[in-house]
Amino acid sequence: MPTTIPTTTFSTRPGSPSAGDAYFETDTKNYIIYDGANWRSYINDGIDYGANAYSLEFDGANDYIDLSSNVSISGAFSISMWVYPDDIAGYVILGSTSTNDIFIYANSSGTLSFRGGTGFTTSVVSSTNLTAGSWQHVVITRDAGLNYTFYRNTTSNAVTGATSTDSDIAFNRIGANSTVQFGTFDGKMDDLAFYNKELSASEVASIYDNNLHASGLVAFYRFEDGSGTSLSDVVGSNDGTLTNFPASPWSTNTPY
Amino acid sequence: MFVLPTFGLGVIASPTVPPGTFDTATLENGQTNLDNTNILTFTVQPSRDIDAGDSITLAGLTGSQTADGSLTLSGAGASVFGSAGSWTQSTGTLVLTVDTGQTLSTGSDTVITFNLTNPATVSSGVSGVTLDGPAGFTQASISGTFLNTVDTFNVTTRDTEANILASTPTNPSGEVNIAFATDDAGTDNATYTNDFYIYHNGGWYIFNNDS
Repeated sequence: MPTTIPTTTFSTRPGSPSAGDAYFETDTKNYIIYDGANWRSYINDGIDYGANAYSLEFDGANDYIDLSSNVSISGAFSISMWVYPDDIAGYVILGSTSTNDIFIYANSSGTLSFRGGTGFTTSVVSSTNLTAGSWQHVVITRDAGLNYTFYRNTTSNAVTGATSTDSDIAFNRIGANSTVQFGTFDGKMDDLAFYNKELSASEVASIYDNNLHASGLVAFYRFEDGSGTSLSDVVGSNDGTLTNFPASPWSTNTPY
Repeated sequence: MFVLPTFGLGVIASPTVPPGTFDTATLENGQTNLDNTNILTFTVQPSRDIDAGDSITLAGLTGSQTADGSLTLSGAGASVFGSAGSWTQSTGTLVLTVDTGQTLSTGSDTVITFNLTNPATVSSGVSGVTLDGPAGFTQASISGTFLNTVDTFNVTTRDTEANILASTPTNPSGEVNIAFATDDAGTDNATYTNDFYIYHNGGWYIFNNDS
C-alpha cells in the first residue's frame, strides 16, 4: 500500500491539530507539519512531470490549437515553452481569438516580441532570436511593474523601456492569432507552461537543466497526449482542441 | 434488684490492625508506537511490609498483544519478586509474588519494569488500572492511560528516484501519495537522493534532502 497524507489549503488548515499532523497544501504546494505550537512549512524544490515522449508538429500553414477558455494573466507572469522552428518566417507562437489581444510573435529574423492592443499599444521587442532546426527553451517573464525579460536557453535579455500598457492578458490560441493574422507557427512545440509569477533566473535554469518546474503553474501543456485531437492541461482543466492538424501530428522528437 | 458486679474492668476490646495501603502506586507508560515493545515502569511502596509468599496484583492492563505466561521483570526492585511475574492477557493482570527471603518493604519505593507488546492497531488505551495487596490491604487506583497507541508515519513507497518519477499513482480523494528515494546505485551518486516526493496534479513535487 502506498503511503498517503491528507490535503488541505492554507486557509482551511485544521483548527485543532495534534503535534506531528502532516498535510500537503494544494494551493501553496507546501508540505506542512504541526510542531505542537505552529505549522512548519516546507517549500518544494521543484516539480517533475515525468518522461517526455511526444511533442506536436505545427505545419506553418493553418495548424493551431484553441483552448477551452482564456489563460488570463494580470501583473507578474511567466511563460515557458520548448520550440523547434522548422523555419524562421515570421509567425505567431501564442495568441488569442480576440482581435487586438496580446500575442507572442517571432519575426522573419526570429526576433521574439510581445505585441498587441489596438494600434499595438503593447510592443515589447527582445533581442532574443530563435533559430531554425533545433530545440530551444524560451521563457518570457514579466514582473509586477510590467518589465519583461526574455530567455533563450537560459540566456536572458531584459527589455527595458518597452511599451506595455496592457496589464491584463488573455491567451486562448496556440500557434496563431485571431483570424490567423501574422502567420502560424511552423515547427514543433513542447511543454508550454503558464505561471502566475515572475520566474527567477535560477528557476528558468532548473526547467532547462533538469525539467524541474517551479510552483505557480496555472496551465501546463505537456503535449503528452500522443494521439487524438485534444491537448491536455495537466494542472488545470483548460484543455485545447487541435484545429486543421493532419491525422498524426504527434512527434516523438522531443527536447529531453 | 440484683446487680452484677463489674469490678471496674468493663469490656476488654480485641487488638485491631489498620488496613494496609499503598503509599506509592504509580505506573508509567513507555511508548505509543503500534506493535512495539512498551516498557512499563511500576513503582510501589506499601504502608507496611509485605512478606515472602504474599502477592500484589496489577489489573486492568488490557489490550496488549503479550500472551499469558511468566513475564520477566527488570529494574532495581525486580529481585523482590524473583524477577518474574505471572501475566494474564485477557484481564491484563500481573501478579507479583514476593520471593523467598525477600520483603516488599515500606519506607522506600520499589521500582520494576516489565515489557508488554503494544496493540497492532490504533488504540486509545486503558485507564482504571488497579493494584491489590494481600489480605488486609485496600485496593489502590493507578492513574493514567496505558497501552494507548498512535499511528506512525511510515513512507512505504521507497524506490529509486527514476522509478518514482516514472510512476503516476492515483491519489485517493483528499489525499496525496508520497514517496522517499532511498536508492543508492553505488556507482552513480546522482541517483542517491534521499529526497521526498509528493504526487499532485500529474507531477511529483520534490522536497530535497538538506542534510
